[in-house]
Amino acid sequence: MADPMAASMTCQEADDLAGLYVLDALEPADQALVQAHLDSCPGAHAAFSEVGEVVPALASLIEPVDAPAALKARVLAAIATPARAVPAVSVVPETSAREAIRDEAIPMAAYRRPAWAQWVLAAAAVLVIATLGSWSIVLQERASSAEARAAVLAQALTAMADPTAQVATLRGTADVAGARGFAAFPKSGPGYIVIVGLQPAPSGKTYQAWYLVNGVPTSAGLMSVGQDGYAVLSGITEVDGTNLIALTVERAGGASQPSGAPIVSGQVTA
Amino acid sequence: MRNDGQSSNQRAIGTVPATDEMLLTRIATGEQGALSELYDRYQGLMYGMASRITGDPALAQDVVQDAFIGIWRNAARYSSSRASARTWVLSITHHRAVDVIRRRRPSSELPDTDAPAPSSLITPDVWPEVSGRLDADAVRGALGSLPSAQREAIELAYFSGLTQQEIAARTATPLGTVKSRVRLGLIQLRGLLGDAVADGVRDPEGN
Repeated sequence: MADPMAASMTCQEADDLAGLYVLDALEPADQALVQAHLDSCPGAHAAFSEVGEVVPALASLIEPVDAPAALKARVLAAIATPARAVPAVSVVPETSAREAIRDEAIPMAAYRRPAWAQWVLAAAAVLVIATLGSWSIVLQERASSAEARAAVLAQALTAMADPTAQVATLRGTADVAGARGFAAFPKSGPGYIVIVGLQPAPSGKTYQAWYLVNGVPTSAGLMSVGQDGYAVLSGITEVDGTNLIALTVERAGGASQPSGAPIVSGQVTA
Repeated sequence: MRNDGQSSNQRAIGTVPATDEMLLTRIATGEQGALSELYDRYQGLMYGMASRITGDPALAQDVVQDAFIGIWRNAARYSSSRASARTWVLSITHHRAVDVIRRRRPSSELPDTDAPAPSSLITPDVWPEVSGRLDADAVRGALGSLPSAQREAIELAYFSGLTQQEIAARTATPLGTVKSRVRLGLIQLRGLLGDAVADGVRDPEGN
């Protein structure tokens, strides 16, 4: 009970919140207080199991809906990425990416790097810095998300700088002229597509990325714009012989074939 | 510890289908094939839950992906003595789904992320297993017989992913009332489901 947060909530107060807690309906700050209390309190807190037992019954009311078939490949690709451990408060991935990018001894990497990549890196660094000094569980939770995001962006930039990588500089067409980004597929390791300058997809629509091999499209996955303005697809593997990366707007859930012209695209070069 | 030879051996042995709990054990050792199998078993329930809460197919897919990343990373923390695999998997999915819609709200400064959130996976994994597959009609009936204010509060929380404050605003109800409605409603629901919850066995027709 040394934790001052645990002391700030009594057993009775925690028990009163048991129902909201088991339904994931507490405000983040309350959730953190309850969690801290449960983690440190030696009491049994039967109130939680009492109501928690009902949750699986509620879950039985959920109607199964088959996910789009492409999702399985995306999930398996995501778990296959080596980004398993993001250290709790680490700027190492970000720093090493910056060094890789700045390393003048890699002229090919420097050549490939779009000028704005530095800006992406700076934004990633801000995300990390903004999360330092977090003091509560809630803030730590936020920090880990921001760090994870920053780490993915840094990894994408590292991939971009990899001399063995196939890369594409992506540009938006007239409709989304401000959109730009890159795709990077290192010889070994996961590939990435990063796009900035897109508005979130309209309601009922999604962005979908495509590998094109001599004009034949294969879905690379669905992309959505995060609150930080980036759309990121990570842990992907390009189709052999891909010479173009394209992004289209599709019906939510994605399509098996692009239904319209690309709004963002770029040639893949070795 | 990933070893493709080992995982194919494990698959080859499997003439008897692995239980979900066995799959989680194999996932904890880093066997991707086991996660693939778990995906096939649960994608429908997880996507159904994520779709219902987020109301957005693209977000729902992000939720399912995030949930599987959480399962992949935390399978070693799963304990079958505390919850069934089904309960654990669905509670992770629910947690991720409400997380995603809360991050999306304009008032929030939380970054949305396609990236996994390594340490934020705190599942409310404190209850014992309810092993019986409850008949959905029985649950629906029990829920329907609650006082409507309690039912509404529970539904807004669990199926719509609203927080206490949001439920209070939506229903023009004080925060404390929302708190007690949810808790009393769940306790009453537990009573209504009776032996089904307590024993994990349900036989409504008495056969």
